[in-house]
Amino acid sequence: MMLNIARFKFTWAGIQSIFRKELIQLLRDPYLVMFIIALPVIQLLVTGLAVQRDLKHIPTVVVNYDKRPASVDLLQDFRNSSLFDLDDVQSDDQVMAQIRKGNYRVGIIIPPDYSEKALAAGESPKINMIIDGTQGTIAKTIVDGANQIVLSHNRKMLESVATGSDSNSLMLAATQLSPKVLYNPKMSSAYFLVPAILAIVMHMLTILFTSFAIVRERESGTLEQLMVSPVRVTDLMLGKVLPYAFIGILDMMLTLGVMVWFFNISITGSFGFLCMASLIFILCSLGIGLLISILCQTQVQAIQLTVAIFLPSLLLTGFVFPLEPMPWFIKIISYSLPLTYYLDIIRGVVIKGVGGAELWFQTSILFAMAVVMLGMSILKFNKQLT
Amino acid sequence: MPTLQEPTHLKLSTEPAIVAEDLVRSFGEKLAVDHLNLSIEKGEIFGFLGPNGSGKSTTIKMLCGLLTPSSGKAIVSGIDVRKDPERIRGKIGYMPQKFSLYEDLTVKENIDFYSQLYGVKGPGAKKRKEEVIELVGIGHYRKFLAKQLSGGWKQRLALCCALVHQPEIIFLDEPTASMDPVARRGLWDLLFTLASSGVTLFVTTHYMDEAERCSSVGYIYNSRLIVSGGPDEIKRAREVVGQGNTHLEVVCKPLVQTFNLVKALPYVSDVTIFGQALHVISELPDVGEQLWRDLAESSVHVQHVREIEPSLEDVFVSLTKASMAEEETRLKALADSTHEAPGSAFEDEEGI
Repeated sequence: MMLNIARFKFTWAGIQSIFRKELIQLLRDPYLVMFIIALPVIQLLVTGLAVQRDLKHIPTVVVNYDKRPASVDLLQDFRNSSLFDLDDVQSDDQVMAQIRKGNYRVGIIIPPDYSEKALAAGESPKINMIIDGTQGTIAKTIVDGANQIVLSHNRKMLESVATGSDSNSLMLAATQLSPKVLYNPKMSSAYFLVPAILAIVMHMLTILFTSFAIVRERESGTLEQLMVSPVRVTDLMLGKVLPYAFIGILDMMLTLGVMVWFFNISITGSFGFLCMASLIFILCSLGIGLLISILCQTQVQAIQLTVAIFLPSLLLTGFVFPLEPMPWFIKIISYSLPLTYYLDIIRGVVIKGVGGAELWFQTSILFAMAVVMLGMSILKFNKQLT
Repeated sequence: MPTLQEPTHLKLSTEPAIVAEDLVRSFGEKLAVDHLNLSIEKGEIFGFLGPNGSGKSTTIKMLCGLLTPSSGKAIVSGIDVRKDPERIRGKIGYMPQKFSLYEDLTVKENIDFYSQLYGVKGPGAKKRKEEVIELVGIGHYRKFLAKQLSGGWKQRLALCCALVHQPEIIFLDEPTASMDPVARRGLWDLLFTLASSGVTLFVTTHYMDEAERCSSVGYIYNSRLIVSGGPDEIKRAREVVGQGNTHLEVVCKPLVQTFNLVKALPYVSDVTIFGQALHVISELPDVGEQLWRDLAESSVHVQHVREIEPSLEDVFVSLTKASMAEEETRLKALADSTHEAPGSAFEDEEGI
C-alpha cells in the first residue's frame, strides 16, 4: 500500500468543529452520560466484589486451650458475627488437618495462658489465626473481619471495666490477633485481579466508544453529508477520537479511585507514569474502535466485531489463564493484543511499584499500536462511497 | 473558498455549471447510469425525473464526487470530478434524499457545525449565517432540536446548512418528498429565489408540477437519460410529437365506461383519466372528429373534444413506453439470436 502522507495533514479548525459537535451530542444524551460515567465504576465494583465471594459464614475450626470465661466471651463475639461459623476441635493438629483437607478455611487457636494475660496488666493476650490463603481476596477479608471483632471485643471489655470505676481498668491489656496466612502470605489475588478488571473494563468501554463513532453516522446518513464537505479525513478522525480520550481519562481516574478507596489497593509505583501509559492504552483502544467503525456498514456489525476482538482479549491476555503455558501460536495472538501489555503495565505499577524504567518496552508497543490503529483509520476511511 | 461577496459565478458565466459526457456507473454487472450526457447552464433549475431505481441518486452522487464514475467525464463548476473530487467540495451544496443532519443538535448548532466544517469563519461568518437563516426563514426555530421539526422545516434546515458556505451549485435529491403542499410551494419559492441570485440547482423529483416549473428537465429511465431540455421544448420534441401525434381532451359522461371504450379504439394509442376528462393520444393527425362520432354512436354524452398540448407526464409516459418497447425488441432479438426462446418469457418485463 502506498502511504499517502497528504492524508495525515490536519487543521485545528477542522478538528475543533468535529470535536465540539461530538461533545454536544454526547452531553445531550443523558443515557450515554450515565453509561460513560456509571458503567466503568459499577462494573469494577460488581466484578471486583464478585471476585471476593464467601464474605459470610466462613467455616472456622477453633481450639480453646484456655476454656475460661475471658476466652469463651471472646469466642462468643466471633460466633455472634455472621462472618465466622465456629466448630470446636481439641488440638492444633486437628485445626491444621481440617484446613489442609479444605473442610475449613480458618482456624483459631487460643493459648492456655490467655485469661492470665488478659487480666494482668502490662501483657497482651494473643490469639492465633490460621488462614487458607489460596484465594487471596478472601484471606484479606477474613483478617480484616477478625480484627474488627477483636477490636470491638477489646472496646467492650474496656467499657465494662470502666463503668465498674476501677482505676486499674486502664491497665487492662487488649487482645491481639496474630494472623498467619498459609500458601499465599501476601494475599495477592485481590491485588492481582482488581487492576486487571479495571484494565478490561476500560479496554471494552473505550473500544465501544468509538466503534459506533463512524458507523452510527453512516446509518443515519449524516456521514454522506460529511463526505461531501471539505473536511479533512484526519480532522474527522482526530475530532472523533479526542472527546472520548478525555472521557477515557476521566473514567480511568474514577476507576482508579474505586480501586484505591474501595478495594484498598494502593498504587505503589509512579502515578504519573501510570497516567501516561493509560492515556496511550486508551488511545490505542479508541483507535481499534474507530477502525471497527470504519470497516463496518451497520452498528450490528460493529457490535459483533467488537465482541470478536474482546473475547480473546479477555481469555488470552493472562487475565483468566496464565500466558506462560500457552502454545506458541496462541501466544502470537496474545502478544498482538494491546491488553496483554497494559496488564503488565498496570500490575507492574500498582503491585510491584515499578515504572518507566522497567515497563518502557510494553509502553512503546502500546504507543506503536495506537499510532498504527489511528493511522490505519485515516488511511482506510474513504470520502467516497463504493 | 470564495470570499463572501465575490461574484464567483459571474466570472465564468459562459461555461456551463455542470457537464456530463458519457457518464457511466456500474455496480458489478448492473449498469446504474448508462452513458449520460448533460449540460446545465449557470443559474438554471434543472429538474431530474425518473422512477425509483432509475439512476437519479447515483448520478447526483457522481456529480457531487461521492461516487467515482466507472467511465466518462463529469465537469462540475469547471472541475473534473473524477480527477479532483476534493476541490469541488466547497463549491457545491448537497441535500440528500434522507434527512441527514444531527437530530440531537439544535437548528443553530447544526448551522454552526456546517459553517465551521466548510471553513466559513471570521467576521463575515455570523452575518452569513444570519443571512441564510433569514432567507430560509427558520429564525424562530433556532433553539429547537432538529428532531423536533416537521418534515418541511427539516428540509429548510438542510437547505440552510447546504447554503451557508455560498455554494455555486446545490444538488437536492427529492427535497419535497413527504412534504405537505404548502411547505412544498414554500421550498420551491425559495429555490427560485436562489436561482435568481445565480445559484445553479439540480433537483430530483417525482412531482410533474415541480418539473413543469424547472427551467430545464431531464428524464432518466432504466439508467438511460431519455430526454432533456426545457419543458416546452420537450413537449414539442419529435420523439414525443412523432409524425403528428394528437393529444385530445375529452369531457364526457360516463367517464370510466367511455375510458374502456376509447382504449379499444384502433387509432388510440393511449388514454388516461384526468379528473373529469380523458386525455387521449393518437398517432394519427386530426382524429378529433372521428372520436366524437365514434363516441356518439356508442351513446356517450360528449361535452367537448379539443386538442391540447401534452403535459410533461404525457411526455414521460409515452417516452417510457417507447423505451420499454425498444428494450423488449432488443431482448427478443438477443434471445432469438442465441437460442429459440419463447416470446412469452418477456411478458414478465411488462408493467409499470
